[in-house]
Amino acid sequence: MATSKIDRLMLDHQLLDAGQEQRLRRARRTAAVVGVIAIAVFVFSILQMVWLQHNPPQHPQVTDSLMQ
Amino acid sequence: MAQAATHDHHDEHHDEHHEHQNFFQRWVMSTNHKDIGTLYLVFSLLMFFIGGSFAMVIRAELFKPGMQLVQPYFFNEMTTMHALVMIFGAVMPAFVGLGNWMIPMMVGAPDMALPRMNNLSFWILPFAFALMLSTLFLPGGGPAGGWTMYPPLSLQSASLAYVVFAVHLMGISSIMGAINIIATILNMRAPGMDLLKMPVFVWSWLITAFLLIAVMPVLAGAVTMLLTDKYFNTHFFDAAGGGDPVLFQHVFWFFGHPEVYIMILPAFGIISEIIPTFARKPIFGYKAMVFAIASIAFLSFIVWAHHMFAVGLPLGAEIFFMYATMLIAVPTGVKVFNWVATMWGGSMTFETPMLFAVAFVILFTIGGFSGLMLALVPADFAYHDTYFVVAHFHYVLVTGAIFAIMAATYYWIPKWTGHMYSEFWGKVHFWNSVVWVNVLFFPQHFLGLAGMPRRIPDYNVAFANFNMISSIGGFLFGASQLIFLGVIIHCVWFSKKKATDRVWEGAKGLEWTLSSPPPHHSFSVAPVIHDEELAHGHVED
Repeated sequence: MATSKIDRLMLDHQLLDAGQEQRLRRARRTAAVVGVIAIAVFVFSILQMVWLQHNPPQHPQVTDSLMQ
Repeated sequence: MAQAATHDHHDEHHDEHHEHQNFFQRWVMSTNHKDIGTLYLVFSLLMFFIGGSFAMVIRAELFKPGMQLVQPYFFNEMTTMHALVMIFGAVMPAFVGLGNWMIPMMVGAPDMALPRMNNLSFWILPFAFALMLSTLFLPGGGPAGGWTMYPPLSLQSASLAYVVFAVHLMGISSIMGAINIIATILNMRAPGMDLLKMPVFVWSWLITAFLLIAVMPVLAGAVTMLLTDKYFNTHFFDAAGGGDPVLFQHVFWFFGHPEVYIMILPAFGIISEIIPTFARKPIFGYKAMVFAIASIAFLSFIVWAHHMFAVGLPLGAEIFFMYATMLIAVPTGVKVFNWVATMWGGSMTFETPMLFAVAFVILFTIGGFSGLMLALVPADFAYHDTYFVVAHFHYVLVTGAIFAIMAATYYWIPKWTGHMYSEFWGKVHFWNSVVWVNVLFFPQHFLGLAGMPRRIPDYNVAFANFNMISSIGGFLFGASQLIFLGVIIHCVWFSKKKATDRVWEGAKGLEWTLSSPPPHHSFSVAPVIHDEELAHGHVED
């Protein structure tokens, strides 16, 4: 079954064989998932600090509990 | 190989596109992993010399006791900028460049999975560093509170916003690079290239990329909070407002310690490629090497507070972090043992890459041992913030990471350019580097043990002799790197000696099945993998 050129995935202007193209589609999904994880880590690292900012009594306990 | 012939024919067609590109399209708009790898490596070399020039200022000022050449604030700017430039500008981009060049060729992929993002992740870097280096010329001066940016000192800097924005850009670049590497390795491998058949360098980069994803956003979060503390009236790290400056140290080192491993794990991978080639034996304990890298990466997340023993941690914490840190010596010891066991009984030859690799094994181990000394809480109270620490991390990062990058350059540059470098001048570069780097850093152990604090422009006359020796070593080590530059320039533009496809007699792996230099596009059609072609085709240990 011929695939039109416009639907074909290209890497650095090179057309890929069907197997490579399938692997590339999977790779893009993996990249999206990893990107979302990176953003989540960034947001979490700030949110926990904001939480501590609004809960000053917990501040020393949390710092210490990291250590125990 | 029939498959290779098909693939070459395929590439001829696509290389026409590349031939019609002008300089701007080729280098600025490039989406080719080899070109972007070259850009990273050239950028890294430039930053290596800029960061090195800052080090020369530091060693010139410390040549004699007393204030000699520069003002104290400028000295502090130099120590801070030297670290930031070397870590984020020289070492990390060099490894990303090596990864870009080699990973797709090693796993039989046509390119990185996301070529346009690859281009963006490189081109962010020059702007980030232009921004950061420009602070040296601003009225308030550049950052001078150390690369760790501890508050409240860093909050006094007029250039904090510039530096934070630059760090954000570097972080975005690193994260995009890591995403690309993970997606490429997990998905783009040629059929038959199982995970446990991948070269150790590819494994080391896969694990490093996960480290980057886990910790670079944390650094971004920490410096964002610094920024809001300075400009938006928050008090995350301000004790007067209910915040805690020590909390910044925890968050920073949660990033900072894995960052140390981000700078050394790819080096482990490089050395694990080079030693088997020149020992003409498969690596001893392939699986153990991979698991050791993974173990080191895991342990790097639970040792961060060993950088903070002196801030007054609870005793239980100090004991936990001390033992966890010492535990890292186990997988690291496995790696050193396996490198030595690979060499044992091998038909060894000592071309320049192998010389750097052997020097790496010996000198990195010295850095590892001084790290063990620093892991001991009672000892660390004496060593903390002394030149002993400076000696330790320079043995790990210069004779470790940078020697590995140099070894990799000599190892792969014939493949990249199609020309052999000058073996004579490579060896001249090696022997000068290995002698002067020890003259530079070994006396700093004695200075630290004698109590000389780090990050000061002046010192007690009792420290004069070792400082003078160290500075002489520094100047000559710096000058030796001009030989490195000369060897590279000669190899790229003037060398008449053609490299063969395999380049090194004992080299194994898919990358060596390609021509030297490899075609602009390689593996558009997935290669047929023959296990005997791979360094680890038959993994049994």
